[in-house]
Amino acid sequence: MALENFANAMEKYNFLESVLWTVVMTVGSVVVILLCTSMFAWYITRVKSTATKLLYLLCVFSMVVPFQMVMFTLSLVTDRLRLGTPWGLVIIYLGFGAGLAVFMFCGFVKSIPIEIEEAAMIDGCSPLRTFFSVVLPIMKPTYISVGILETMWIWNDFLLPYLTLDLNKFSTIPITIQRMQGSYGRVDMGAIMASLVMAIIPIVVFYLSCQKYIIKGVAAGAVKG
Amino acid sequence: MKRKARGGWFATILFTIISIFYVAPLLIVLINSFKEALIKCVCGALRIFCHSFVAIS
Amino acid sequence: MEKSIKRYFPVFLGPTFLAFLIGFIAPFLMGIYLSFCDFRTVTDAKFNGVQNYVRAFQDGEFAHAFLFTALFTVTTLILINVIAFAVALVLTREIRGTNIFRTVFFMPNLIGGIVLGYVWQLIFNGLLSRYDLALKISARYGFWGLVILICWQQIGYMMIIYIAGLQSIPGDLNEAAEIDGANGWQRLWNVTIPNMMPSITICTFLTLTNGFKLFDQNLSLTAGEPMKQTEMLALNIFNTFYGRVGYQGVGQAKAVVFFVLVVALGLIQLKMTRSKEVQQ
Repeated sequence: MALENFANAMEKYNFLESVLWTVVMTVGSVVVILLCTSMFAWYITRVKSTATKLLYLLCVFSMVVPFQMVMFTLSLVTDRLRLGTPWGLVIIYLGFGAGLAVFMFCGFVKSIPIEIEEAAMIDGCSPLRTFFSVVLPIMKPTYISVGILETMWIWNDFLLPYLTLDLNKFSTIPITIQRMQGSYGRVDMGAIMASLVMAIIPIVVFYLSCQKYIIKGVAAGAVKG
Repeated sequence: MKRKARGGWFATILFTIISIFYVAPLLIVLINSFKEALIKCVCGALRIFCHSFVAIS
Repeated sequence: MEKSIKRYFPVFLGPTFLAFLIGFIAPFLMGIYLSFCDFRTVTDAKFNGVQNYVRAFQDGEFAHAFLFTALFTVTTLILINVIAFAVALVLTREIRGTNIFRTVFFMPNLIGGIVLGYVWQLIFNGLLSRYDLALKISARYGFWGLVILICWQQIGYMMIIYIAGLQSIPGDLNEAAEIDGANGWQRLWNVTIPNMMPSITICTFLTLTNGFKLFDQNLSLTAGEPMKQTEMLALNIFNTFYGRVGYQGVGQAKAVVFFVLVVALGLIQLKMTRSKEVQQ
């Protein structure tokens, strides 16, 4: 037993720091995505017009577009708007991850009977109040499914943060592991294995502690996708 | 379904073996991460093993 | 009710729409425009017609990447779906420990492509080094290495979808067939598979698009070595953008071609399998 490799990985490659940034980015993005896209989805299913129909189609369309199509221009845009920070990327993830989330939320909102909301509105609730006190609690299972799918995606995403983050200041777990291979000539295999292990363990713990939701969420997402 | 699978135990044993193989890659990396000798392989016997880790860009 | 909701559109639509504009619509439209331009950054973009596309199609590496990707996708599509379907069939029977097996098979899915790529690189190189070989010596090793990695990662995911599909088939259908004297194979071909078509559609669609869009695993496992022989389309586009100076326009044109290809294949595939689905 030698924990030397783990110490090396943390000291030489600042592994813990990249874990921290990954957590900040993932949690921030998922919370924002869940809140904003569920409101968006509720609005476009309840208000019927050409504009909302168009928005829905745009969201579905964005799910099919491969990232390579927009990667270069997206990195230019984030550079120009100075969004190359973990919290700036929250906006990018909201934009790029909206497709799947809106799609899944719309599918669920359609199945909610409109009468419940109408009753709340007649009682004098504003649309915002109605959404937060009536619609949001009903949608809880969908929140969990969408949250899990988006977490899996953002936590493991490599290319988007690699191209848009300011790499002199920030790094994520996949980026740190990728950079360990390069630029040094000789590679510290021990540190790489240690970081691979440190990257895998939190995922496995997360998986085993809520696997019921994860498997359900994935199945639900796939059936609709 | 009433049809109880014949050889239920056989399937269980088979799948247990497959499962062990399935998680083996992760376990191998886990075990190796505690070994300290690996950095020395740059000039050691496992030369090719290390050469394959040349930077990509 | 609609009217009162409508007044709140800045609150409900605003944030997502703005982010969507920045994160998707603007880059997408700019990307299409820039594919017809010669540029290093956006400010010096000059319109040059279909020049980029011509150069993209003349690029031998791009063609090779396409063939490699197509071969890879077909191989993984067949392997993953057949194995996942078989495993799902066994695991929906009453076998001790099915839940543990499902948990194990699904796990690799949650681990990211970069991490998995390096895990398997260590494993493959560790095995091959016993014979004085390495993963990056031959494109053949790289190809099968990638196939094994992707199968290992995705079988669990497809298995979960197939299991969900199998559980939704009414049990009396199979029983009725059994009473009519159909044997196991006949039941599989004539009852189970036709009823599973929706799941099969989803799984083949997912494996097809995943195969074409594969990037992380390709980068971390082989990075295109040796000599770009194992470079897939997504990685080829990435390298065109960031590996060669002055090729950004060509890279963008390749990206547009790639996008059209993925969408077209997805649509064709959906049409083909949807037509085989039975109405229930």
